Amino acid sequence: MKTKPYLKILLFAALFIQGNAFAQTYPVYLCGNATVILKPTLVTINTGEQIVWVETTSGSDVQVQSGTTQNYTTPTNLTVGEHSYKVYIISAAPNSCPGDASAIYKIYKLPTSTLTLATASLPRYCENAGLNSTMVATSAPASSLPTGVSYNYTWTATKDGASIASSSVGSNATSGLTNTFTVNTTTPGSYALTVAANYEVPSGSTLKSSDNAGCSEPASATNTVVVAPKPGQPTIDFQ
Amino acid sequence: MDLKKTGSIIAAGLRYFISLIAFVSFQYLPAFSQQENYAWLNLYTRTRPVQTTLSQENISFFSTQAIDYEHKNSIFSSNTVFVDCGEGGSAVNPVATPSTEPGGSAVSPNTKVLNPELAYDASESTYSTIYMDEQQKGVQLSQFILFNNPGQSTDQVRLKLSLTGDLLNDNDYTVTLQGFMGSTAVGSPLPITTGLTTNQYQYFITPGATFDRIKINILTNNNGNKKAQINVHYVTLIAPPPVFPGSTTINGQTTSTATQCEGSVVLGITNPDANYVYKWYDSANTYLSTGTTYSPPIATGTYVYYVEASRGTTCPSSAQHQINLTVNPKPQTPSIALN
Repeated sequence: MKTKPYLKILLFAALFIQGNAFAQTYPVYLCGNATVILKPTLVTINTGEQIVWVETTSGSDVQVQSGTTQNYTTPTNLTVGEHSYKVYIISAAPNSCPGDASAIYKIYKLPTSTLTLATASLPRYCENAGLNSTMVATSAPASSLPTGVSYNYTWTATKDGASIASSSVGSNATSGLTNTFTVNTTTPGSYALTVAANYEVPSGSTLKSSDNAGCSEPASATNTVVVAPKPGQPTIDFQ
Repeated sequence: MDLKKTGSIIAAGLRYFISLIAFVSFQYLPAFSQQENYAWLNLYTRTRPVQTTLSQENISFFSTQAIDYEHKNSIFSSNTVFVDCGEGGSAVNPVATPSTEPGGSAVSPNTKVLNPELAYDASESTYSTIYMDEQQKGVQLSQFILFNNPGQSTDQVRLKLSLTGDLLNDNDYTVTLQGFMGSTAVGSPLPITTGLTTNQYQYFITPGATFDRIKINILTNNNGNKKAQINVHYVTLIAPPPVFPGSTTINGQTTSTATQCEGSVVLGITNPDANYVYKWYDSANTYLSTGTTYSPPIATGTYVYYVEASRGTTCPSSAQHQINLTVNPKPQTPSIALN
C-alpha cells in the first residue's frame, strides 16, 4: 500500500501539534518555601503613583499588593501549581488613572516529594564473580509535575566508612521518576550508598528553592553492598 | 487487498475531513465574513417593522407592519405612528367661582375663558384668553390644560403666556400655576409675580409627582376697573435637564465638571428615564449621538460636551446640560521581570 505524500505531511503535522499543544514551561519555578521577587519594568515610576499587583485566577483578578512599593514578593505558602501575575500603575492623585495591565507573568510552585530507596538486589558478591548489585530510588511528587520538570539524583558512597566518589563504585541511570544505581566495583570492601533527589527545570528557566539546592530530598534508607575478596590461593605442602 | 481497500477508505475520509475544515474556515476569512455581514446588514436595514405605539423610539421588531426608512416621512404622515411630545391635548374650562368670603362680588358674565382650544393647538401665536372682567372681588377663574399622557414626577411643564390689556398688578390679581392629577392638586401652586407682559413669556413648573393637567388660575383681590386677560399660547411637557454628579446651575444652565482617564471615557446620565431621549452634542453644538451614555473617542485634554433630554427625537428638548470634561493621561504599561 502506498501512502500519498500529502497524507504523510498531514499526519506528521497532526502528531506534532498534538504532542506540543499543551506543553508549557514557565520562566520561574518555586519549590519549598522559596519566594520570588517580581518587578515592574519598562516604565518610570513617578512620585505618588501606585503600583498594583494582581493575581489572575480562573479569569478573575485578585489584588495582592497596592501602594508605592514597586516590587512584589510572592508568599512562602503559595499553593502548588500555576500562578499568574499582572501589574499596572495608577497615576498620582487626584487624577488616579489606572494604566493598562502588563502581560501576564506565570510562575509555577512545585509540589513536595518523597524519595524511597529500595534494597540492593545483591547485598554481597565476590570480587571475581563478575556480578553487580542494583538499587532503585523512586521519587513520589505530591502531585504531577509540569512539563519539562524532572528530578536530578545525587548518589553518595562510603567504602569501609570513608567517603568515596560514587562514580568509583558504579553508575546510575534515570527513567521517569526512578533512578537505578548499579554497584559493579570489584574492589573488596563494604560500600554504603544513599541518594538524594532535587528538582531540575527546563533550560532557560529559573528554579528558586529555599535550600538553594533545588529542594533536595534525601532518601531515609542507606544500602550496604559488600564486595567480598576472593580467598587467598592455597598452596600445597607435604607433611 | 483488504489492506488496500481500508487505506483507500481512510484516504477518502481524510479528504472529506480536509474539505470540511476548509469549508468551515472560509467563512472566517475577512472577505467572506464581510460579504456575509454586508448581506445581513442589507436585509436588516432595508425595512424596519413599526409598532404603532405612542413613542417613535419604542419601535418594535415584532410588528408585521413594515416601513422603508427612505420614505419614512411620507409613511409617518399617513400612518398611525404618533409621537407624543407632551403638548396639551384638551382643556377644561370651569365657570368662574365667586368669592366665598363676605364682601366678595358676583361673577360678571364676561368673566370666562375665550377660545379655550387655542391654548393647545399647534400654533404658539394663537391663544386662549382667561378673561377677568372689571369690578371683580374674590372671583376666581381658571383653565385646565390636559395632556394626552400623564407627566412624570420629574417632568417640567412649559407654558407660554402673555398679557393683553390692563397691567397685571399683584395687589389686584393673584395668578398661579399648579399641576393636578384628575381632581387632586399635585405640589404647591406656583405664583406668577414677574415676567408677564404683552410679549410671550415662558414659565416652567415642576409639579413633582405624576400629573395629567395644569391649572392656570386668576384670583382677583379687588380689581376695580382693571380688566385682566391672561393669554395661554402653548402648554407642553418637557423633560427635565439631565443631571450629572456634582452638577451646578450657573445663570440658569446646569453644568458639571467631569474628570476621567484616557481610554475609558464614558459620560453618563445619573437620572436616566426610559421615557426620554438623550442627545449629545460637542462644543460646537454638533449632534454626536443619542443615548443615556456617551463614550467620546478622545485623548488627553479638556473638552466641552452638551446633553439634552426630550420625549422623542422630534420633540422639544430640555435645557442643555454642559459638561466640562478633563481627560487625564493614563500611566505607561509595565512589563514584569525577575528582580
